[in-house]
Amino acid sequence: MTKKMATASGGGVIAPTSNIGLVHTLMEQLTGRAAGLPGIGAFYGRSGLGKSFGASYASHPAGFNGIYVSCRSFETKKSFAEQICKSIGITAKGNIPLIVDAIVEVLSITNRPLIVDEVDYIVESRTLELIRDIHDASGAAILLIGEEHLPAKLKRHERFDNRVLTWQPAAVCSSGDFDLLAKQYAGDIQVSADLKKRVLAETNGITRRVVVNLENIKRWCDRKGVKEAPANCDVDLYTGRAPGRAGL
Amino acid sequence: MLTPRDRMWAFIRKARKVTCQQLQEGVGSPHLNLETIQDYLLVLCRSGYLKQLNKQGHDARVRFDEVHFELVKDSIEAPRINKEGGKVTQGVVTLAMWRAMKAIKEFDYRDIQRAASLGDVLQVSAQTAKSYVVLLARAGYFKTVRAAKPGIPARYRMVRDTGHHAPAITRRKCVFDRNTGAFTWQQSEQEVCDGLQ
Repeated sequence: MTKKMATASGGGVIAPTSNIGLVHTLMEQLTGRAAGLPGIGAFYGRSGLGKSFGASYASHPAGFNGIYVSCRSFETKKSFAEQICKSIGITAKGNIPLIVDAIVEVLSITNRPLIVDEVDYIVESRTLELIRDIHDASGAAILLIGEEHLPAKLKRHERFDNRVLTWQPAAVCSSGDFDLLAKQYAGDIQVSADLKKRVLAETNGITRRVVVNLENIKRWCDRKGVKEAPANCDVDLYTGRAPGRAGL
Repeated sequence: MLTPRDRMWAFIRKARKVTCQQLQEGVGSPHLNLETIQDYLLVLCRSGYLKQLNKQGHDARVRFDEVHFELVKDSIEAPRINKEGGKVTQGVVTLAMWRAMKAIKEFDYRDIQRAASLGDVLQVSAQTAKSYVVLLARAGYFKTVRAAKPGIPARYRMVRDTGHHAPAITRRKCVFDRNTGAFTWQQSEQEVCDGLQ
C-alpha cells in the first residue's frame, strides 16, 4: 500500500488513551510538516507508560502505516539497516551504502514514516547517524521512541538535535484512561471512584501497573462473586516498589 | 513467497511497458490466465498506475490485442486494488495484529485487540484476536510468559519475527507464513476427526 489511508489524516479517529492521542498529533505534525522543516519527532517517557502501544499505533496498516524497527543493545549500522529491510519486506543485499540506497528509495516512493523504538540502545553509538542519513536523503518522517533521558542524550549530538521537530513526553495514565482500560481488562466489574484514585496514586499512573492491578481487582471480585469493587477491598495493589524490611 | 499480484507487479516494474501476453510470459510458472492479467492491468490503469498507450476496441478484448500498458506511477508493493477500484481490505486486521505483536513484544490477546483496533475505522473483535494469538502460539512464534488461569488469559512474548508479512490462518485451519513459505502449524489428523460429527 503506497498511500496512507484516509483514516490517518482524515481525523474522526477516536483516540483510545491519551498517549495514543499524543502519538496521533505528533505523527500528523511530522507527516504534514511544511517543506524545509525537519521531520524527526521524539516520544519519550518512563517504562510502562504505553510508549510501545504508541509505536504500534503509528505502524498500524490502516493508519499511519509506519515501518517499525526496534533497536537492540548490539545494533550496528549494518544490522540496523537490515532490520529496516526486513520490516519493509525487501532483501538486504550488498554493503551498507547499497542497502541504505534501497531503503531511501522505498521511503521516498511510499512516503511511509519510520518508527524506531528503544532508541536508547543506539543513542551513544554511531548507528544513530544512519537515522540522520536516512532522514536527510529521503525526507521521511521519523519517530524516535525511548526512555525519559532520551532528549538529554540526543542533545549531545548537535547535528541530530536540530533535526528534531517535536519533543513529546509520554503522559501518565489519567482518570479517563483508567476507565478505558477497565472496560478492556475488567469489563464486567464496577470499580469504585475511591479505589480508582488509590490505584492511580499507588502506581504513579504507570499504565502497565494499572493493568496488573485491574487484573488483581477482577480476580478478587471473581473470588468473592461480586461485580463491584469497593474502595476498602483488601486487594494487594501492585506498586512496582521493591519490598522493604517488612516486619522487622 | 509471492502472490500472483506480486509477480505481475514485479514484472511490470522491471519491463516498464507490457502487453497482456508479454506479462503472461514474464510471470512464468505457475501459469496465470490471461483474464486475470487483463483485469489487473485494467484496474491499475483506472487507478492511475499504468497508462494504456494504444486504445483499440472493447476493454474486455485487450488481452487478445497488441495493447501496450506503460508504468506511470511507481509503487514498491503491488497495489492491492479490486475490480471496482477500491482497496483490498482482506488481511488488514491480521497485519495490524502481527505488527502490534512485534511492537508490544509481551502481550495477551486483549492487548493485541486494543492495539489493532482503530477507533471507528477498524474494530477487532476479542474472538478474532484470541484465535489469532492462540494459533500463532501453537505455531511456535511466542514463548509463554504466564500460562492462562481462569479469567486471566495467557501472556506471550514474541520470539520468532519472520518478516513483514503476517502469518495467515488458512481456510484449512493451518498457519502459513509467507515470509518463509512454510506451514508453521497444522491440525493433526485426530483433531480434524474430532471436529467431524
